[in-house]
Amino acid sequence: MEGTQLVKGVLDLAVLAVVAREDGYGYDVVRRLRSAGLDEVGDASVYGTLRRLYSAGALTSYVVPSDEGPHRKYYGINAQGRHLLETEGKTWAAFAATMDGLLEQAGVQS
Amino acid sequence: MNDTEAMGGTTNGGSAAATQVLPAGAESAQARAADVRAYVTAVRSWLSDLPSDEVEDLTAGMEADLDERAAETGERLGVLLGEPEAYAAELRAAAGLAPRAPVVGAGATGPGLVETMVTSLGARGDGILVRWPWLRELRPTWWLARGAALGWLLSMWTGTGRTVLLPMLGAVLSFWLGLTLRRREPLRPAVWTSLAVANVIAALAVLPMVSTYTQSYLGSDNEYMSEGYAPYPESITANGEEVRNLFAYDASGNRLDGVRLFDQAGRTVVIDTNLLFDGTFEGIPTRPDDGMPDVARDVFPLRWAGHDAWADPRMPWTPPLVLAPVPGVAPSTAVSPTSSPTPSPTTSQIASSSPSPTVTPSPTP
Repeated sequence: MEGTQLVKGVLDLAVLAVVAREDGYGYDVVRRLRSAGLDEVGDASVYGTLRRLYSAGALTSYVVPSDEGPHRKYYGINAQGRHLLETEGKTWAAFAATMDGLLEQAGVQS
Repeated sequence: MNDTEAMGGTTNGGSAAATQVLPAGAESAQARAADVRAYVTAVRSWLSDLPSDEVEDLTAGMEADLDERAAETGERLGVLLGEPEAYAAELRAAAGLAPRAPVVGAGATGPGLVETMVTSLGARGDGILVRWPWLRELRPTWWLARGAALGWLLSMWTGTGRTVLLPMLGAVLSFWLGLTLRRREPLRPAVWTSLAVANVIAALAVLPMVSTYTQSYLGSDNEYMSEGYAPYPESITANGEEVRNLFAYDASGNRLDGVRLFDQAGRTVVIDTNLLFDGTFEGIPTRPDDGMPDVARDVFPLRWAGHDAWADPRMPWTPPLVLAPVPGVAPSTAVSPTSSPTPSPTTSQIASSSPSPTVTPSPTP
């Protein structure tokens, strides 16, 4: 299975987790996801996800003006976002446990 | 993150990668900014079917992000991120927005179709600039050519003789416009559309303009070309100059008035009365309907009331009163005894040597 397909399913959760640690602008979030090991993540997917989470009310957003270049747009998490992160995180943990169990029964080391 | 691979862009200066790697040094930031602007513009154009505030939200901060992205490797964004079209599609998919509607076919309703085509063309144009970045360097040349072509069209259309001044003015204006608008990208749809229309017209005019200039340039030493050049289609030429009047002498060397001439095919030789224009038609009777000279065009020398054709101050040459008789031609055979050796310049009678004794100049306008 392509890693890209897996990432798509959990990108919301991954982005929420990154932003929950510290506010960040688009490419900063991309970079942190990649350095965490999610190499397959696409720039535009991250930007789109940030935008969607913001529209859904899970993120806050603010613009930081720059003297020498274009403005940066930062995203931060809010209470609703933290709640989403926790519930989605639990769902992921349960899902991962289920998958581990399945693979273990099949004799695959995970 | 694969740092060694990412660094490849800056260290690899090979010819194959030359157009894909931005210049290093002082200009790099500027070139990178232009590349980023172009990419963002292209992405925005692929989002243009969305509400404008949605587009704003989606692309706010994108320039800063992409600039940082490009600065890391020195590579062009088209190489790093792929086609703006795919980038925009990924962006809207991740944002939970509907994919861009495909360009509708001929069955679609009016304004929607045109609008979709315009945005689609615009998006493709921006995409091309990202794919072939060197096209950007040709833009100033196009601005000049575009202005010259439109100036030339204007000079042709208005009929002024300013086929050099107007194209030059146009080129300067267009260059200035190009510089100004480039700083204002992305352009508003109305501006973009008018610019696109002007560009298309100019592109169509460039070829005829070039061929016209080439012809008039070659025309001076190319007989074939100059044959086709006839501003006064009815006029005759002598020694490469339009004939404005004709002065005939008979075999004895006497002036002839009221002469009518025919060519080998029996066509009347006429002179275009436009050629009498000398800054003004003053002193020449004109027709009330179109203001053109009311002068018989086929009777030579051309004359009108109060005008001495043989002593016209406008002419650079004064025809002599008498010429030496044609050698070997006996005057007595053609000239009747009534012929005076010094005919009055004001006579309107045909000289006696004329084959037709009852000539009265008949105006043929």
